[in-house]
Amino acid sequence: MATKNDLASQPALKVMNRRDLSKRLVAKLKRDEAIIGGIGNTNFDLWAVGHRPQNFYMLGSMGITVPIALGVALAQPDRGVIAIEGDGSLLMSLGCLATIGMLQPRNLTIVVMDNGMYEITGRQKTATHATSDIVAIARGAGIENSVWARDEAHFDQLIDRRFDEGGPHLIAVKIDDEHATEQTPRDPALIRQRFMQGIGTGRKSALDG
Amino acid sequence: MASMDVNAGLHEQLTKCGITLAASLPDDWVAPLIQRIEGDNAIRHVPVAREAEAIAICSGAFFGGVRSVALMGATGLLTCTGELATLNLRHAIPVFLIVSQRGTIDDQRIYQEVQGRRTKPLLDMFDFPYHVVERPEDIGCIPDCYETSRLQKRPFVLFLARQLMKGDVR
Repeated sequence: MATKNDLASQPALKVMNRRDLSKRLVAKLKRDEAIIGGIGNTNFDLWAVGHRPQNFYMLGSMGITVPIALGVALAQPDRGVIAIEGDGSLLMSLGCLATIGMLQPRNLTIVVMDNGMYEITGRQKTATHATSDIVAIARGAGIENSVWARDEAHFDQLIDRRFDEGGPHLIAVKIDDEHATEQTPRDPALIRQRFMQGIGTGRKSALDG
Repeated sequence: MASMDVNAGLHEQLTKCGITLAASLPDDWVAPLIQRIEGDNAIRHVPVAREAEAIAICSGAFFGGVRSVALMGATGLLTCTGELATLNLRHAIPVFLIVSQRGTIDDQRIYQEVQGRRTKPLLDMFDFPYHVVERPEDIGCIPDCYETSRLQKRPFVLFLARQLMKGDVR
């Protein structure tokens, strides 16, 4: 199993920028893939790089982005489903990695934006700042295709593929602590309704025109 | 009705609801029902590591157009009330839970008594609808309970009473 020392012995991991990586990820999507954006800056930056009907921006409920994405992936096995999650949130629910390792959903990709801190509450440090290696944890949970992106080119290479097969995948990136500059609309029920329309399960009402 | 028949009845009603995904973390009262579901090729069973995971998976399944159920014990329900409030209540996402009603006066277990006293008041506070099935002849209410959750777009808890699940066994 990989350890902190393995991480330290890898080629240096470039510290990248969440908004830039979100833009790169969205630009690669060609098949109406669903994205579940984790709370706070993670979904703020997802919103900032351009709204898509297939984006769900979770407001609150820290820690359950990945199992929500798993539920969508199981319900729609022909659609690629991507969870974007921060390190602090993922640390709350590491058990879900074991569930995914056991189920092996082929259409699920997890992108972990790891800056080693609870950025939105004042940059308090998380365990990934010290000893915890998300990729090693995911591999240990049975998600064999788990990898650190070394830099932007490597990230592009890792996501330059079909998202609806070959998974599960976990891609972890080291990012800086730059706050998002925009925030999602604060209408949770509308976000849910529009997301469901975006993935073909929500009914349009007469009020939608 | 013997316990096996009760679980067969519960299973049949879940099928009537159109459920094709079940996420669970067992307690010993609901374990036989989970085992039945595990053996049903028409229902995808997802064993989870924590009850909040089951709530999230069922919510994602709802997004994706799949009818689901979360199965757990009363203690597990207490652990995921935060997610039920901040995900399901806030985003108007229905989720149907089947939960053992632990801690009633016929369940003399000290480690269940707080669940027995405080779970229903907690659900009342959140205004989450619930219903207790006490007798085998009441199992047929399950599709109505399920549709209530869908109609109200809120969590609905179906409690399974001790007498129903364990009979006279102490």
